Amino acid sequence: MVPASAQDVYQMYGIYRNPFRVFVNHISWNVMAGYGQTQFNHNLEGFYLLNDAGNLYIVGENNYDPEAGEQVIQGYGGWFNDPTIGPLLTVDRTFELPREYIENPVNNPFLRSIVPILGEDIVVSGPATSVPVTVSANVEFKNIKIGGGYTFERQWIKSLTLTHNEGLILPDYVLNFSAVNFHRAFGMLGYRFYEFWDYAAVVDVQVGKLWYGDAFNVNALQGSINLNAGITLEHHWSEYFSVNVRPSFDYKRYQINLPVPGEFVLHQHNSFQFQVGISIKIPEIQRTPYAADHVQLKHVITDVQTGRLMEVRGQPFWKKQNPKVGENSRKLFRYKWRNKRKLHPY
Amino acid sequence: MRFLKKLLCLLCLGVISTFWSCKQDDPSPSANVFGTDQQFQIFLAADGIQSSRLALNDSLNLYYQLIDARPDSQTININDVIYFHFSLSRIQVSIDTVSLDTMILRTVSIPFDLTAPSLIAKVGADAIYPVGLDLGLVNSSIRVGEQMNYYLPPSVGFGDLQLGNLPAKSLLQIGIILDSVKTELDVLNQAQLDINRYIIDAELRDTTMVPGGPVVEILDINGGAVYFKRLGDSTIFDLPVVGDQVSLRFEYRYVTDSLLDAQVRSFFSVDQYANQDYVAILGSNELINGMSTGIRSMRRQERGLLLIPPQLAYREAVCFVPDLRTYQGSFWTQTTKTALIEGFVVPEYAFQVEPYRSLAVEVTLVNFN
Repeated sequence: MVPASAQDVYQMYGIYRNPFRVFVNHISWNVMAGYGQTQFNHNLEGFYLLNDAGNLYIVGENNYDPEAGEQVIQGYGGWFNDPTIGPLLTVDRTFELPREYIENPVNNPFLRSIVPILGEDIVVSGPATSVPVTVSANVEFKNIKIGGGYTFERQWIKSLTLTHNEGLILPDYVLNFSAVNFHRAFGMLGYRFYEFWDYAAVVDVQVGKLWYGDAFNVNALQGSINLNAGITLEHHWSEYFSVNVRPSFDYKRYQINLPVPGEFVLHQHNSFQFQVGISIKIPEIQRTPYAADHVQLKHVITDVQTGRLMEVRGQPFWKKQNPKVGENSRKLFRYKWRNKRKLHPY
Repeated sequence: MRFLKKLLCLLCLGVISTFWSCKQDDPSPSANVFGTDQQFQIFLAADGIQSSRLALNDSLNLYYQLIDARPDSQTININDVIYFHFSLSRIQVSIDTVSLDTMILRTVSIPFDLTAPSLIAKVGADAIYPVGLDLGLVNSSIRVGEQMNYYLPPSVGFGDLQLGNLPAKSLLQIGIILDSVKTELDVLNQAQLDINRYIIDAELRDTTMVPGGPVVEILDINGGAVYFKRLGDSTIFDLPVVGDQVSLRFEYRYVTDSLLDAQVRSFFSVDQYANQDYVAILGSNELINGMSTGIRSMRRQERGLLLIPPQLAYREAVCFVPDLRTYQGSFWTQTTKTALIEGFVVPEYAFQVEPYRSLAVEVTLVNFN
């Protein structure tokens, strides 16, 4: 005789379950928050860097001739987030002998001549910290998870460090903002590849689109696809509730188009994120409506209003639904912290 | 449910604390290296000499202390040229946390050396480094023969520069003994006389002693005169004009030093363009006035000697304390020079020419077009 499946049991005995709850029970709702460490990297290849008293402008290689001596050129500022046309700058003006004498020589503003620095010799980088908050939902079928979600990320960055490969000391690129918001919508695909008792590990990939905050000039910005790969470590407290930890790597890059068509700067801001959160499935059956019902396991009762048989839970949703003796309450009631000092804890 | 509420609260708390921890720190108030004004007054009073604070602005604690008064002697005015000797010390101020006493440690880096030549500087013309000394000299009414101590905070001292045995952000005490004061005009006239003396002493006019042409005086439109002596013959007789691109090779030395101290030449001389062309537009800012004027009298491929007075060269240049000549290498290393040049504090030539120096430049006009 072929044993009846679980579904058959409900049909065979006419045990009622709310169809909506049964359907919704297949969806896991996840909330996670944590910490992110972003590393900005910028490619200035094809540009010269102009350091005007700490204001860092860039100019395309075609707009500056290193052999031509003193020139007046116009660079671009805000090449990180909001490109602007910079002031006219005199470059290659030096005051070495036998060049001109200058009055009031000490700290004279005219000393601020600029020597363009080849962009390919410069590494621009800067760490940023962030707090990502993610809300997502997914369904699971044969250990495969499919879903989508939204991430809000608040990111703090102070300045970018410019390192010259020949040791030239350059000032930091000071940004015109200190914090910025990012919004991300994504679809996700995961696979539960490991299970051990209440623990499980899922490898997943989130693919989505990133929206940049107000600090960025979105008209000049061209983003790329956003990829986030991570491993979610799940501790299942019950079949409805788990606490999750998710370390992940976030790949992001964008292009800032400069005012002159065809000239752009590439930026990468990949990050490592560590998030902690919870995952909840709405139970397909409700808790027993009767206060006097002390049955600990899932069980069937007769609804006094409808007369139908219905399955109910004996445990809150974050506890094991069918616990063995003492499994959900390993510590006696009287020894629980809140009852320790009570003479009559019960 | 109670547990779930706790969990959610903890989660929210975690997020909020993370946000809070990422909040940008408030900038710390700038430390006052002197301590309070009162503490510094106590320190200065310990020497038994009254001190004064320059009331330039509230944030600048610049003090001076008259050590040796000469009330009847000449005082200085802005744009005067002074001749002086100096000493340099580092002051460390600390406050005992128990007794709240101010403790002072004075470390002498360079004592007065009255046997050394006087330093020359133009005051009130932003031509003295550190700038606090210029501020002090202009505002303290120092007189000839007097000794004055100036106390400079790092902002008008050497700032972040580590100089010799002085660490970055040192509080300085610079002692000045003012030897004499001249007007700039007197100094420039003297320089012109020095050039004439040099021409006589070196027998430049005597073509049997120094082969070549006669010494020609070329008056410059900006005042002063350049002296030119042709050193070698040229068969090409065209002359460059303003706007021409000229290719030069040159070496230079001080007019006075060429007679008195030939070693100095090797120290200050720029040999970079002795064997390599320097290309410049004649009459532009790529050449000092004296060279532009002199080269206009030179023929193609000709070699000549130009004697250029300071008003057509680098005039007051920059006076460094301690001075470049004595403390080259010990205080003024290549690193410190580069820091000041790339920090746009002083021009490059400040490390190549001392104040009010007449230059003797041997030039070869390689080509022009």
